[in-house]
Amino acid sequence: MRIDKYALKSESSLTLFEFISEGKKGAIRKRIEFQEANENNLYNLAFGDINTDTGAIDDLAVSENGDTEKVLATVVGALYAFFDRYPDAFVYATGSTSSRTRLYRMGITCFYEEMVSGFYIYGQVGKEFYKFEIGKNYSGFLAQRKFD
Amino acid sequence: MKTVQELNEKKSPIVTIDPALEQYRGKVLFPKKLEIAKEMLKNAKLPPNMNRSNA
Repeated sequence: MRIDKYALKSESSLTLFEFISEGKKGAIRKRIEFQEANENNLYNLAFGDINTDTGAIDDLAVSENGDTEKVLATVVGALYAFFDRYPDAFVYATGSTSSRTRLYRMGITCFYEEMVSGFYIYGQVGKEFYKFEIGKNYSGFLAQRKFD
Repeated sequence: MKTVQELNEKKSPIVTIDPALEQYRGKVLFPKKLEIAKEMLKNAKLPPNMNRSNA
């Protein structure tokens, strides 16, 4: 499956990315932040709309800009760019709400074939991580770059 | 020179470094999100690092 991506901008450490979603509601600035979660190469992926007043990320915003797949493809693209710089990292993602976590699961499911060719994908159940399976509920997700 | 199609099909996208974003480098812009993640990851057992020979 080939889905277009938006152009990504970043700062030089490639831990913060921005792009502009262009859809039926106009242009919406989006930000992806890879946050260092501990000292063991574990990063948390934060993603959402940029609040133009405060500059903060709002991950609860529902843009309904009609470009969900392109936005998700862009986030996956940012993952590749991040892992190119930090190949030993683990990237964790969980939603601020259960519905947002389901959206993340939908995104992984949507790009599953592409993602498993490039990443090891795990789903979190309690304190354990298991190989991601489509259709199962997870409280969080973990990705690691796969190198041949 | 790569064609536009080849560039579009690359998994790693072309990323433009924007000097205006340097001001955010190293800053946690979404601390609440990081707190949630740390709570979720507390005592969690990570899978082995598959890219290391001792994994």
